Amino acid sequence: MSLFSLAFVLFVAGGSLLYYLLPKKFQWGVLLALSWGFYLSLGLEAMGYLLFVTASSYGAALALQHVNQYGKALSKEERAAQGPKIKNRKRLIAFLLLLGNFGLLFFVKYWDFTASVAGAWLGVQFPAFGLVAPLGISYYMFQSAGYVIDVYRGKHEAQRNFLKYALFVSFFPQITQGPIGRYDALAPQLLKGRGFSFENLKAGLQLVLWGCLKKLVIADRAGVVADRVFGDSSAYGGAMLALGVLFYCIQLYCDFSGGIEIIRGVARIFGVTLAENFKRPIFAVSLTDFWRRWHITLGAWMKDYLFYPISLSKPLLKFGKFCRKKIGGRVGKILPTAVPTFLIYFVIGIWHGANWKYIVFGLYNGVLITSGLLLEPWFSSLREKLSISRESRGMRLFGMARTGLLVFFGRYITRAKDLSTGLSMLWKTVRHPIPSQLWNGSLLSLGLSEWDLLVVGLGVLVLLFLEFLEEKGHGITEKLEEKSFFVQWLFLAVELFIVLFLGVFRGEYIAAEFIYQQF
Amino acid sequence: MKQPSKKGFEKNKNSARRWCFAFLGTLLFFLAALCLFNGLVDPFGLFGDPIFHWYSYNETNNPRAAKIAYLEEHHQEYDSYIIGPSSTSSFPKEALDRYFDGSFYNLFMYGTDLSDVEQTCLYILENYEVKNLVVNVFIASGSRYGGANDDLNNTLHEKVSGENPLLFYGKYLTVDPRYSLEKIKAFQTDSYLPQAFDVFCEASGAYDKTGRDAEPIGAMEDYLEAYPVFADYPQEVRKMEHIEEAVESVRKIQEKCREKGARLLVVSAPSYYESLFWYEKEEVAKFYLELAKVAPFWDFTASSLSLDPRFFYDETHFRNAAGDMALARIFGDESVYVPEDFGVLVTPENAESHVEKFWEISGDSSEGTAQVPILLYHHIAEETNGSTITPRQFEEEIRLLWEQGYETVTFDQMIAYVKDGKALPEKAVCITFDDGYRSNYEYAYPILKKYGMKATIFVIGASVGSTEYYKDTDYPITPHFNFEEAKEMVDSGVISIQSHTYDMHQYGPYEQGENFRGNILRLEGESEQEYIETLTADFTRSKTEIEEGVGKEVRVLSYPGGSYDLLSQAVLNSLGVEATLSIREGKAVLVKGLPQSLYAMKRFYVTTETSEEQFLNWIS
Repeated sequence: MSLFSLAFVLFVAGGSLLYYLLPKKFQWGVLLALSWGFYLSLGLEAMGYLLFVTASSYGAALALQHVNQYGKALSKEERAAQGPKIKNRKRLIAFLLLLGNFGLLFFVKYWDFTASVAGAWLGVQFPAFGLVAPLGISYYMFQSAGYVIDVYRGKHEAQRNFLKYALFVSFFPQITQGPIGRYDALAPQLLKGRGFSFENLKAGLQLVLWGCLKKLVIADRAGVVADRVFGDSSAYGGAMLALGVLFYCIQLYCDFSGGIEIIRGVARIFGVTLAENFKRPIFAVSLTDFWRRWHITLGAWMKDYLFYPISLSKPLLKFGKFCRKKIGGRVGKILPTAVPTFLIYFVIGIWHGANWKYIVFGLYNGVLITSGLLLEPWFSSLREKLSISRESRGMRLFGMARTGLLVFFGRYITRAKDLSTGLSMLWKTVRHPIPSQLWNGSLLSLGLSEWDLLVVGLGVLVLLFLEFLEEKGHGITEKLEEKSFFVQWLFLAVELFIVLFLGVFRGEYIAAEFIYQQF
Repeated sequence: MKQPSKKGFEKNKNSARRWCFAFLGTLLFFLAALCLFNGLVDPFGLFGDPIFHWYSYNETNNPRAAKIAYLEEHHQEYDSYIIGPSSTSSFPKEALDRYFDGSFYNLFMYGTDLSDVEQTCLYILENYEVKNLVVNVFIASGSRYGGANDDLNNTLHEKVSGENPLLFYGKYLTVDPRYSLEKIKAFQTDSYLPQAFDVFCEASGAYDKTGRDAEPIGAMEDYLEAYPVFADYPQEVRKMEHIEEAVESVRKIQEKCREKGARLLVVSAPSYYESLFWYEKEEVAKFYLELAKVAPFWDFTASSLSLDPRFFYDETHFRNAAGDMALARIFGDESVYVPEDFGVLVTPENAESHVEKFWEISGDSSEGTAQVPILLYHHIAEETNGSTITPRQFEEEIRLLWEQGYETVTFDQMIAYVKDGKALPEKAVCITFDDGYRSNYEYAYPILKKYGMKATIFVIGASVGSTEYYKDTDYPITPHFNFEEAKEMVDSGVISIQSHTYDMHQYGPYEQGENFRGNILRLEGESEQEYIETLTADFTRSKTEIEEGVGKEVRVLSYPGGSYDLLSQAVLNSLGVEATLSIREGKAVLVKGLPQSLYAMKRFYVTTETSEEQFLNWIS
């Protein structure tokens, strides 16, 4: 069931009606039924994966909780004596759970790739299984793994009710593309009973509308150009390729963030506030800043559950000591942070999929950010010499442009069908731009009419303007609330009109004259 | 943080409530507006098309649904139907009406198969008065079945398919508004000739072939150039996997016809021979054997006509001319030319031998083709210039024809060759004069008479009898003969007088204003409607005056200056003109059974420059 089908609209409408009509104590049950029903519509096999991940993490968390409680019940002396043993047991449980889950993820998502690469190196033929990872598996797996680690850390208690826990893992709006939720923030909201509220409905619909506008009106149009250019990159000069990449950047942002807004809107209709996943990435002043604004919940997850454990692990602590002693200076101080940082971005790259291009994308981010960290002392002294403030407008603009450009180049690699195509496109952009293609009418050969190009252009401008206001701290929604009802309605009507007539009716349609020519 | 006061909270709550209702109201309003817009413009013709009444457009968008919607309103005007895939369109309504003595509607649907046909037949048999039903079981029917789908262009009407009406009409009411906008846009460019967006003829249900039927067709080389698909024919493989289903559909239709007392005629339409190789021989045999067991049918699939691409306008679609011949064969109409091997009534008795002989197509396209050199003369005088030749040159050329044993043919003879298959003399030549100069009467007429030759003179109506001045002006004019002289020539049997338009061959310098008509084409800035009216009035006047003046029928027109286009030819067709002449150089190529071979026929333009050698070359 696509988020953009009439079926989904009816599903949400019927579901929310049921949700608010039933007594509060049954409400979470409705959500679970809806969630499992939604996921079941993707197929039985997918449901099997979901149940495995749910059951294993549920069990692991309970076991950890048990050990935690056992430890707490001990006296001080006993605890001192059994401490290491308890710790080891907890580690074993967490290790087994993570191994089982991420092992499964590796198997369905990365096995074939690994087998072919390793097989080629070793000269052995490993079997490939051609498994298709079920939709959303990496999202709900990360979400449940985070939960288990939190229980391990004693951040919160484990959920004893399997069904209640299952709802946390499978909440239907977010299960296919995030945002990745945290148990302590999400579960209480899901399990709480609540009465119908117009505020929630309004906030939800506003988010859905805005998301639809980004996704249907802008992203799907921009995607046509991106598909055309990446689909036959040899047909265009470098400037056109760059344009295609730009359209891909527009598509990716509007598609992903628009989708997340729809998800957050739907959740909001049920009274659930999901974490934000995007925060105006165009205004990022550095790559690190970009990853704090782009796919926020993934970055945050990586930070909490990967970066810190690695940084604080024994080998890394030893390495830190070694660096301070043997290398010393600024580099010696920064190197222990740089290593886990590099690792994080490398993993984020691979998280995107099993392909060399994602590995290179991970390395690209890792190398740039790590070298940024290492060179920062030099940068700051340079700034001092030139007496430029880091917070100055010029510096911010420079930072934005630099970051934008780096992200832009990265997209050559992630969108192209493989690494070599991406690199050759990049090369062509630099060496054979043929800029005349931008104004000799070739633009209209990219699958969009002049009108559609205008819609994308205007859409992006309006989006940039609104995000600029938000960035400046002018909350658009709040500002709008202060206006008269007529103005609010006008805004709503225009938005709705655009979504309906430029969004819903955006796709291919066959003009009568193209249907049948053999008369 | 300051907590909102209770009053503020209430206000927020109220405003949220208002917003939600505004959202719902606005959404419903837009949906209603969309439905209203689509319902009024009605691009698929399912809501009565209240504004445009443009079924030709609607049917182009979806013939299955729009035709039934049209018939729901108009079925009283018809008592007979012909149905099948798009090749069915080329059985002309006029001929069907005449032979069946009924009123036919062509219910063909593009891209269809017998499953749609069956459902539609059962529906009309049940709900309309049906005296005659013609079903075209095209050869392709064995290879596809159940093709109707739910996309907008192919959905069957809910009355036929039994689909839930709410879903059916709902789908078309909430359709992309660009369909409606497109219709409004197209309406502004609607024209006399069909365009790609309105390919149907509303009253007959067939494709509007006004343009197709007006295309001049002649030599094979020219045709292959104009229709390159036949020069490089596509190769396909089509498996006949639906023979049983297709035949079963025919059986059901037949059963229903019996129940309702309707007469059923099953035909299999002509196919271009290269397309036959898309199918396996055994499968074709099986299909036709099975079909014959269920219903006897007239098979036109393969014959010598299939070998001549000029009877087809694309890979699989034959021309109306072939449809006319097929009906003449079925009804034994001897007055129409039909190739000997065209059409066999296949019954269970002869089915076996028919499928055995099916692939033995023989024939040569040159058999039904004649090439006739048509000579074009103008003024004859001692003082020559370009097209004005001396009486001596004229007589020498006529004597040359006489010596070489040429026989002059008239347009009546050429028309009879094409339409009735009447033979032409072996060494045929045709002599024509444009404009109607008095010199034709003075010099040419006696010379022709002397050698026993015939000719046709195309007169400009406005100039007949003008001996001194150009129309009402003081400009001098080369003298033109009058109707008295014309009648004398016609009565002698030597000369035929035909039309060169009444006044569409004006001489610019002598006309007032810039916008004179030098030829028959539409003027710049002139509306199509005005043009058609002007041409109709002009030709009608020319025809009436000539027929009154000489007492013989006008059937032929020579295009002034040789200029013509599809529109002018189509209008002349509608006015009953049977042949037209251009000045493109070459022999006229006549094809038996193909009226278009009489259009814009080529000629040889004789001038003072014409040498004896060239002249002989032309006519040989």
